[in-house]
Amino acid sequence: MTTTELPRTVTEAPADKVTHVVIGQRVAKIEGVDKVTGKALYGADTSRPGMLWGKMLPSPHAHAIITSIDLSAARALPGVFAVITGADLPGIVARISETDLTPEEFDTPSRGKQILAWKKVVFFGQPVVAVAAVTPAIAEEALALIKVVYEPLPVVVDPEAAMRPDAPLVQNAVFTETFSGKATTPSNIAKVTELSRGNVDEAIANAEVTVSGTFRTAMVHQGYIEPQACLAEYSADGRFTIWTSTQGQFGVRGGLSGFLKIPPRRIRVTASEIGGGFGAKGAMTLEPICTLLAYSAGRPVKMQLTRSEVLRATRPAPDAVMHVTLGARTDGTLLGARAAFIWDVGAYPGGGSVGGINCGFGPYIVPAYSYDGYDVLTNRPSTGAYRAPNGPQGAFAVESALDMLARKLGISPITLRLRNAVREGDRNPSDVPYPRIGFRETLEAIENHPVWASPKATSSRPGWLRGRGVACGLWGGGVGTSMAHVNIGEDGSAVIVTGAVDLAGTRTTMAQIAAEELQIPFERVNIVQPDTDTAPFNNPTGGSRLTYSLGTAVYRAAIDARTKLKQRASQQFRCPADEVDYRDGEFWVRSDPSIRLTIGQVARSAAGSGDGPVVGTGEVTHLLRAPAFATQLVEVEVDPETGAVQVVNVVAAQDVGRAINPTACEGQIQGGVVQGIGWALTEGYVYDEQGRLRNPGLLDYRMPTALDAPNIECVLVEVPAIDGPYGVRGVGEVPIVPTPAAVANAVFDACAGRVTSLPLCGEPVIVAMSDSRTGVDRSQMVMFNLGPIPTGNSSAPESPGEEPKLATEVEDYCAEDDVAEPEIE
Amino acid sequence: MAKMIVNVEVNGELQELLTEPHRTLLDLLRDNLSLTGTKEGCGSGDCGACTVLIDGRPVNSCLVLAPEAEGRRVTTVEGLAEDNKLHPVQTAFIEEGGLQCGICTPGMLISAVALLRSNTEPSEQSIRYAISGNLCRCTGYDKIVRAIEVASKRMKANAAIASH
Repeated sequence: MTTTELPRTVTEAPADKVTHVVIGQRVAKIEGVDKVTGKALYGADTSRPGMLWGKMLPSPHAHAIITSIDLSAARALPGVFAVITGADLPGIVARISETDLTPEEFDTPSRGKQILAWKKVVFFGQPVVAVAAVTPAIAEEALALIKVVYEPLPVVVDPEAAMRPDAPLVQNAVFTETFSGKATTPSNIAKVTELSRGNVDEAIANAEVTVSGTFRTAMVHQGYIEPQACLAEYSADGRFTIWTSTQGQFGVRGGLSGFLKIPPRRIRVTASEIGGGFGAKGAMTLEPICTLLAYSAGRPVKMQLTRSEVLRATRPAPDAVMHVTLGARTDGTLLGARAAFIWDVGAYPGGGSVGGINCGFGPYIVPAYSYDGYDVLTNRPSTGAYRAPNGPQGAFAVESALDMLARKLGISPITLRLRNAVREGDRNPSDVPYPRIGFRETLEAIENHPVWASPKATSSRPGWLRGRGVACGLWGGGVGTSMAHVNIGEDGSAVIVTGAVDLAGTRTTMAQIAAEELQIPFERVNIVQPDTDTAPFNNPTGGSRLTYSLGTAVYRAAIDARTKLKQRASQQFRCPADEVDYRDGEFWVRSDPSIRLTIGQVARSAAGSGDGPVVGTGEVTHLLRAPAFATQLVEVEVDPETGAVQVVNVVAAQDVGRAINPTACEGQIQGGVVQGIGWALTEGYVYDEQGRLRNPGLLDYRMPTALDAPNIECVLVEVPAIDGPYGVRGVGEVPIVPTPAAVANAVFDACAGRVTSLPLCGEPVIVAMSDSRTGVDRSQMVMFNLGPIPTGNSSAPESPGEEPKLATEVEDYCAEDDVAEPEIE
Repeated sequence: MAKMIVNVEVNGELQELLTEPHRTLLDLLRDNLSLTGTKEGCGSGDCGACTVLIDGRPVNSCLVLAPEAEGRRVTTVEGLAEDNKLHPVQTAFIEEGGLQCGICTPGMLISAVALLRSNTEPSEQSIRYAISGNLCRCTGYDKIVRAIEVASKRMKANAAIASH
């Protein structure tokens, strides 16, 4: 299938760049003044008269049965208005929805249902009881008066250990899901994903050179600076009003509607200004429990997570154990690739699957490949989306292996990637053909960059070693429903009305698009994001979809407004609309350009006419995905004594399609790179054997500061996407994807130590350097033979007590290497 | 718990505030005065979102107990602009793309203003040092550093004009 057969949704061809006036300009952020003066209202900044404060009691255990809960003292404390446990959930929802609700509905392994622990706790810090009281201090005092008796259960926090048949079961009712069906006995392996193309065994057997390795990443947090916060109010007319920090107010309305079993018309959600989301605020966190507390207390309730709650009990990104084998010809042409990825998705299913491999193998032509993905439950918080979900993990494994291959072959890492880079028409691992893409252009941008062309500098720090690494990344692009209205004011201004949430700059780019299409100055455009009762529908913001999808809706709404204005102008000119011309805010009749009407005059007269004021509308439900590629060059300095690593320089090339606002594009890229640096160097959850998180604070969960962040030069490559306005592509996700691998590759270049686990600062660097000197290879993964997953269709379920052994394909991986004894004995 | 009165000057106005002694200066600002521009990101002094000036010095207001503010002079982000005119640091942040989601911005601005009061020509390294207690997760810091550089140059130029 060639791309010419792919459907295009926006038929207006990307206009000649030269004709653009506002597109491509570095205009200042439209909501900037509110944000620098403290006027912007975030999740915790709204209050209501008579408001109470909600707090939740966290579980001190990672895995335990709740034997009893004594709430009497807490309920008796003056100032306490509501106390809710998991067992109370069905009754409250039944009262709100006036439906018969059986407790069994909550007896399901769903984080969204079990907003408070249900019969047992499955991760450290899981909320067990929620209270609402007149002050935060009284709410905390009430929590301290609650007596919960737990019966601790064995804990499993390591995903490989959790795959063993004798591992403690995190959930009693999770059955392995495969493409062929569902298993009949419960397991911590929630899902197995198998993808393949061609004969990978043959391809690797015929390869002239192979490399393989096992790569590990830690569980990391999105690290938004604003903890989740929510305010809920119930009114006697049966309606709920919610103010919350979310990436999607309509998503919250829909989610609450489903949870409470009431129609959406009874729920009004206002998305506050959002203090960082990065995927994490695409799912509900506080909204359901805050709503139930407000209903139970009969007063508005505000909740705000503490930082330790954010780290312990929201939805971080899964850690992964990833084995990759690559087979190639001596000229670097890839013949086959094999991958087995284990995703630690935490205590509830969801969060792993194919994203990692689509990002990992996606940039390359791999004639034969296989991928086995395992979503594994552990006694950790269930996981969720974090900027290009699972892409950085997959790319860390694949891009590290490519670096190993390049070194083994003695060719440049850029040459190797260019040799195998996908082009338009090639298919991704999920077999979807790529439309027009700009991957090679990003590689060439780095290859031609002065930093790559210049000799490597020596470190200015005595004894430190300097190295340079390259890695690539892909994000497939986000799509979804967006709508916008463009109201034309009687002064010729425009106000965009949308229900989408702006995470970090899309209000400005939307205003640029409207200004461009209406041909009015940027300063005359404003944009508002009212609540779900007022604003047109939008899917949540995520997956780098907003500038692409909402941009299309705004583009169409602006053109619709312009068309309507032309119609109204023609009525005033008393001529057919197709004889009216428009440019830069003025209408005239083609035959007599001397008589002109301004856009304001037309809008004013339209407002009083029978047709009413001019409102343009635009909507989009589905665009063709616009994949975005990035190549990054990272320079590091390594202290061989301590393993300390400092990233000193980054050049980040990215195909942005068309930069609506280069400053905003650069900001997204720089932010993503620094998150990737944190992932590579210092960020990671640390659990003890009892499954307690040892670093639930920002001192010990170490995110990069201004002193850790390097200079980051952005190279904006513009290969227009074939759908959407101006050729624009989503920008936000992909810059985080290559960074951890690029850092690790640079560390190898500096000190000859191949670091295979993140975060790498310190000991992993020292160990890798020592292994390199002594020839130890720790790169092989120990994996358990899962055997056939017993599904409903399967005739002979595997006996649970069987001794685990290495999977045959892993034995193949290991055959030529010096492997230590399996750790499973 | 018995309440007490704290007398504190906030953004040039004397305030007489009733509070429990265990509450923080951050609580006073946000809950008693509705000055919600100052943010709480961690409550433990690690993120800097709650940074305010106390007697001209940048301090994490989540680590200051309300009674400790007695007799002090506090400046919050709401007090940076004068007579509806933005402080040069505020203008530079907007123009240079020094903010995205904006949650760290109030604390970042306060740290920047404190720096530029004591050092009119800061090097890049001293700018990075001055804001190293303020975590930002969106920008990668690059454009924040540039914004502070631009602001320092402008303030210097303005001062030169004013002295003529």
